[in-house]
Amino acid sequence: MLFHTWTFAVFFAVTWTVFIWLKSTRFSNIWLLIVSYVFYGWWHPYYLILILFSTLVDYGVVRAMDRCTPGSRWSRRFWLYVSLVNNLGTLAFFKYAGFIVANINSLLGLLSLNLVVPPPQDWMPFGWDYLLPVGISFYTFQSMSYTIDYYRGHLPMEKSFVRFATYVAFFPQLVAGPIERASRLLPQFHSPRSIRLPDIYSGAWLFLVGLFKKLALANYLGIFIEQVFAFPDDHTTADLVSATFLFAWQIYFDFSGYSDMARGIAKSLGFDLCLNFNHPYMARNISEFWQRWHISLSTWFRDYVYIPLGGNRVGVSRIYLNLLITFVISGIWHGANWTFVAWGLWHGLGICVTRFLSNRLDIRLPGVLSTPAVFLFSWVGWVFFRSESLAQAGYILRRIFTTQWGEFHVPTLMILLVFIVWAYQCLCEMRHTRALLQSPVTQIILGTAMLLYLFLGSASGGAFIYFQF
Amino acid sequence: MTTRNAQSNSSRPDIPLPLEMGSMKVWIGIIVSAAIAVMILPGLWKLREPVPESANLRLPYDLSKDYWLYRHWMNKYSGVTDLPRIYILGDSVVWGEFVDRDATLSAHLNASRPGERFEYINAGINGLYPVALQGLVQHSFPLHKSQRLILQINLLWMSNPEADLQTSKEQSLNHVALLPQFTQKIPPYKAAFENRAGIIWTRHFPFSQWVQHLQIAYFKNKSLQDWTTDSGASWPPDYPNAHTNPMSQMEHFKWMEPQDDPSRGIHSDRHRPWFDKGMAPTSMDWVPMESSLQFRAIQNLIVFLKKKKADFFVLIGPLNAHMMDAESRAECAAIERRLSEMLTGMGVGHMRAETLPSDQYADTSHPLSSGYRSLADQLADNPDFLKWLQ
Repeated sequence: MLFHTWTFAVFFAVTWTVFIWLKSTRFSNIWLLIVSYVFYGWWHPYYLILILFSTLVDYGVVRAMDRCTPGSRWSRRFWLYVSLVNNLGTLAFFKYAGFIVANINSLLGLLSLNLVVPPPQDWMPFGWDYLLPVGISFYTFQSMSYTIDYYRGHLPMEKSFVRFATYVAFFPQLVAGPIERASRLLPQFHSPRSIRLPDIYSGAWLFLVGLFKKLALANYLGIFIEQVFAFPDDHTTADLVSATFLFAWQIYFDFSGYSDMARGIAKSLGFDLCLNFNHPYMARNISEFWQRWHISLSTWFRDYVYIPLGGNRVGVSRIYLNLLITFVISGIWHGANWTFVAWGLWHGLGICVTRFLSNRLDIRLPGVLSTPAVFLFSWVGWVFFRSESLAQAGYILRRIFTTQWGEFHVPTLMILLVFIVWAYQCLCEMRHTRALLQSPVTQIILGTAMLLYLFLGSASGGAFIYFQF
Repeated sequence: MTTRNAQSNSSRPDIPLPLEMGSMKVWIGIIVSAAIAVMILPGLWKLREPVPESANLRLPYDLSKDYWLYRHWMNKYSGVTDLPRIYILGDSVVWGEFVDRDATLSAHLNASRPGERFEYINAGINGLYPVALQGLVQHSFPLHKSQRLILQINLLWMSNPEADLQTSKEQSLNHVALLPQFTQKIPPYKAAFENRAGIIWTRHFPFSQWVQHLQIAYFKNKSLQDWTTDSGASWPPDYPNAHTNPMSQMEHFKWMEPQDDPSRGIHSDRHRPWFDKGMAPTSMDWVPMESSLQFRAIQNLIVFLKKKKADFFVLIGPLNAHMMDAESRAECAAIERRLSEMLTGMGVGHMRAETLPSDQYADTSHPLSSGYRSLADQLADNPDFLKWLQ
């Protein structure tokens, strides 16, 4: 069930109406849990088994930790490992097993060993399908944050299973984030629900912006990009340049559009989800890019991977190693392909190099060049991210840097739309123009323009890119 | 409990946050301004795209699914005379599948002018069938009280279970936007909920119909975005519209049919009697009237027209009985007779068209130019029709 479909419109109309009726009663969380499971089961009822299993294990693990005698560090740690193994094991099996098996088989082939590991499809019991559950990376990370934070003593145990299960499965952010921390979202299921009119207005605005990003921008850019990436040989180098440039924007519009819609929907139900994107292409350095791009994931990796590895409290070379490890894991989180590893490595190296240049050699780009430079850097990274294989990424980069560009076929309207968004974000970043953008007249013009454009010109729909992660 | 993580994912203080937008005042402004635009734009567009003044106008084949244009033309058609109008509603038989627009039933009636007091308008659409015709009249035809109509009924749509939409195997149906989406089950129509809901939305939101008109009439039936990314007919793709100004495309609307349409008219290769095309008499698997979906739609349509107090006359046929074996012909005659009795019982004036000479048919139901002339003559001589005209 996608946010920009009629099915969701009917689903949400029913959900919201009943929720308003139940919001002050103890049934409000039960209702949210039921509709969240309906929302998730809509893709495939079999997904519900997995999410329920993951939820039960993490709920039970924290209860078990709670029963451990004070000071029994090892037994608490044991239960934490149970949670980690369960979540990471589920993720590894459903998301990475095929990739791992393929690589092992390639290695066995290279070593001329007459052995083949069967594909994970063959491991499934009772003839069940081997499916990648939508959004598994998001809810496992969300659930893990609860057990880790409880283990660290950062939050109390959640006594109610319904509340915890609703936190894990809360439908607005279930399949593509933002990845909410238990410490931030769980208390919102405790507090008496109040839905204020301003929440509904700003929620509707967020939804409109997200819908515009998805339908009018991401889907539109996707038409050209898919064609070019499907047949790179049949397109000019100028088209490859355009498609890779546009993909940087497509993935931003697609993913941040989903986050905006998720936040808007949650707001209209009285919940506050965290900001996930903050004009990432306005960043002045790569570190800042990661403070603006998929904020909920980058802070998750910072708090649960980078800092436990030692963070900034270790020697310089170890800091660089920690950064590389964190970014490579972050790359793998996005998908089971070497292209994602390369993308993570590219960003890790970028951060290490810029950190070295600025901290050790005191070399920094002048302000006017820094933002375009960060965009160019991320642009190259997106080539790896979007390509089917490292070979394709190499082919595209080689052509861009070594051949005549030829004729551009990218539609002028696409470039114009991207330019308008870019100009808007530039104005947002400047203190003296923010007030102008925030004036009611500007908002009315923007809102009306987005609404009319959606009616007049948007392309046919498609699934969100980040669902596959 | 510590809340160390409570704000752990917020941005650095020196990075400006996105603007918080959307207040009640803003939403009222957006809704009012969008509503004004939605109401005004299609109206302004009608001024830019006037209805052509032309005899024997019909909706061009390429624009068959442009229901906004159909309604606009039927509403505002300023004919070549000031005579009151009679709209002839029906499928491709009325529209004139094998003939040019000056040789259709309406054109021949205009030429012979039975009753002398009327101008006949071709309100047929190519590709219709009774279930879709019912939808067209209910949703896209500007029906008003005492409006004069001739409703042509083509019983060919009951001649086998597939044509009658009885088979459960999915069919690629024409004019699905005119079908009932949620109120009646049509077995071979298996659209997803999304498509059905989109059709209902478009049906009740005239602005969407107008947008669809722009797409059909100017952008090769594509959205503006899909049109700009059209990869072209050649390979490697040359994206012919990538740098074309969409507004310049608005000049290219061809509301008239081509003068020498190679597919239609007496000079067309298709304009030949059925037996010259290798067709032979055949047996038909008529669907009983009681269980026929198409017949139910005909009944519903007649009830609807009566309820709306339209002044209408029903023309049954003319099916090509020469193409049916004896048994099928007898069954067809029985269905026509029962329909005629039903119409008489409802007090609806009607005529059972006599079978035309064999060489005046292009196939099972479509007359050739001479066939339409004969049909117009039959009407002009029919006492019930002449009585209705008075």
